[in-house]
Amino acid sequence: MKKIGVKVEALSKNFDDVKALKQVSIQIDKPGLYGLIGPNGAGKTTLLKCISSLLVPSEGDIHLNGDRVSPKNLAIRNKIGFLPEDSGLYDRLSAKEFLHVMAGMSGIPKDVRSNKVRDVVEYIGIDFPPSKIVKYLSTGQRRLLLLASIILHEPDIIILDESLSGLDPINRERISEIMRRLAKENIVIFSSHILSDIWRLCEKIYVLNDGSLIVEDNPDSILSRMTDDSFFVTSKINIEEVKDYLEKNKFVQEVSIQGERIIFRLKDFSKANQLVGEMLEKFEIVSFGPNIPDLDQIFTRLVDAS
Amino acid sequence: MREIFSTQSKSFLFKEWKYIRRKILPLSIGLAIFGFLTVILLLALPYLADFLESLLPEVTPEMSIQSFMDSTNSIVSIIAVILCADAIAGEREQNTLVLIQTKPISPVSVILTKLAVRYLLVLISTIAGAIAVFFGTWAFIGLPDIQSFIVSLIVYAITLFTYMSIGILISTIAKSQISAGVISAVVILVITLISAFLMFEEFQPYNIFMMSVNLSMMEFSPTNIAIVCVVLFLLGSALIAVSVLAYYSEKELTRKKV
Repeated sequence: MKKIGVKVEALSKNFDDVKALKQVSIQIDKPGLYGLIGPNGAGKTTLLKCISSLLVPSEGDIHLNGDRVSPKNLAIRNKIGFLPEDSGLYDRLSAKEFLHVMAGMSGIPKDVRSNKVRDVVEYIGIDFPPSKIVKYLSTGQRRLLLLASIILHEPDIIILDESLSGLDPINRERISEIMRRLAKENIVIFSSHILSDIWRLCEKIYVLNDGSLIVEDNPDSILSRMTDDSFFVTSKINIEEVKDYLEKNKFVQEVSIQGERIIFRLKDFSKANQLVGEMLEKFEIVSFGPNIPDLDQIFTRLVDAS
Repeated sequence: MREIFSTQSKSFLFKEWKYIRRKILPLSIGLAIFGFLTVILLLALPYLADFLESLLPEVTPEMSIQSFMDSTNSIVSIIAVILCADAIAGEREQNTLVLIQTKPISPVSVILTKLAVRYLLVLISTIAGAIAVFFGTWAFIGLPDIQSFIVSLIVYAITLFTYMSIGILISTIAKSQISAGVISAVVILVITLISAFLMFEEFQPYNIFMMSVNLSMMEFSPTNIAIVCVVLFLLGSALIAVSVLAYYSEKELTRKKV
């Protein structure tokens, strides 16, 4: 197995007096999907651009597979496939020509280029005719084409900036599936400001806020950290009555209403069944269960906590 | 030197050629018509206004060539720099610069490829115009001195290189294509106007930007012509070097977006 890894050491990037990144350190040493989330303006794109040598860090170092990233080091660009958030394409070329140009610009010799392009088209599953002019492709097709163009040179590290935003569910699923396949052998880092994108895909999540790395963990442990022992119950009509009932119950504490839900804690877990039974008899209970915060709440709490 | 002829550069050249090639035919036809019109206009001038007839000297083939070189020096040069405006600024506007910057292609070959295709386009069109004016003059006025015409064209080709390096430099620095085009056009206009107004004869051997125009009417020593060509070439190369540096430091300078 090839040795791959991304090492970011105390990386800072300033734009004049704006501090976009503050002492960010990340170490990844095995293939997989890694998610980078944060609110808009948190520094996600800046970090990804620094890793892909598009921006020069103000402080700190980045090593890819042990080699230092710098704008002078042209060879290192072939280890990275970077899919920018709002990249344009060469509109006047056909899809096939575009892939050929991108392959050539990555240094793939002419005699193997056709095979390479064909393999990648198959891998990505591009289903529109390759002779179609790029200008007339849809957003989803353009994204697929760009994705194909960045993996032509078989990079070890694939960086996708907001690669799922602005797509319909079918294309999101398609691209997620490609990302999962890529992640078997490569390091795939992708950013998003939508937690649900990252949650179901990544094995590790990095949360950036205001230029600092605030959380670095896997999704499950973040979830368990965010979950307390509370329960929720929803009722169709008599939500106030349920609340009154719960407040009077001696096994229950901390009753509150959040939207349509009533949130409460139990002093004694063994009484849960009995309580539910009683409530089902008395009220029109719609749902009941452990109160797990939804992803947006987790996101908000993570950011607020910092 | 190796990186200029690398696989990367060839692919990039292919892409640039795809973008530029459709402009060759219209521009060549346009300049051929333009060349032909300069001859017709020169002949028609005395008939347009009676008082001009007594003022104007008799039309000679050299006059025809000179008037073509004169208008080429200003108009074609301005067209040339406007064509250069999209070189880097255009990629920046279309968000395609990042596609180049993430590929292992050197800044030198990016800039040189950009310049080369545009230079070729303008050169081919200018030659089309020159052929039209040569045969037009031959047909209506008389056979011009072919040798001095070719020398004028060669000197103009080098002047064009210098002008287009200015265009490339401005395109590298400018934020948008339009501002690059306007700024370059104004710069070229100022240069040609200043050069044209420096009319006293002793200065003409040093009037580098007007050399291609003056050649058809005045005698210059071959050394003098060679020196002017070398100066123009060095000036152009220096501007290209600055463009490469500007492109290279792009990563540091631009994009506050985070």
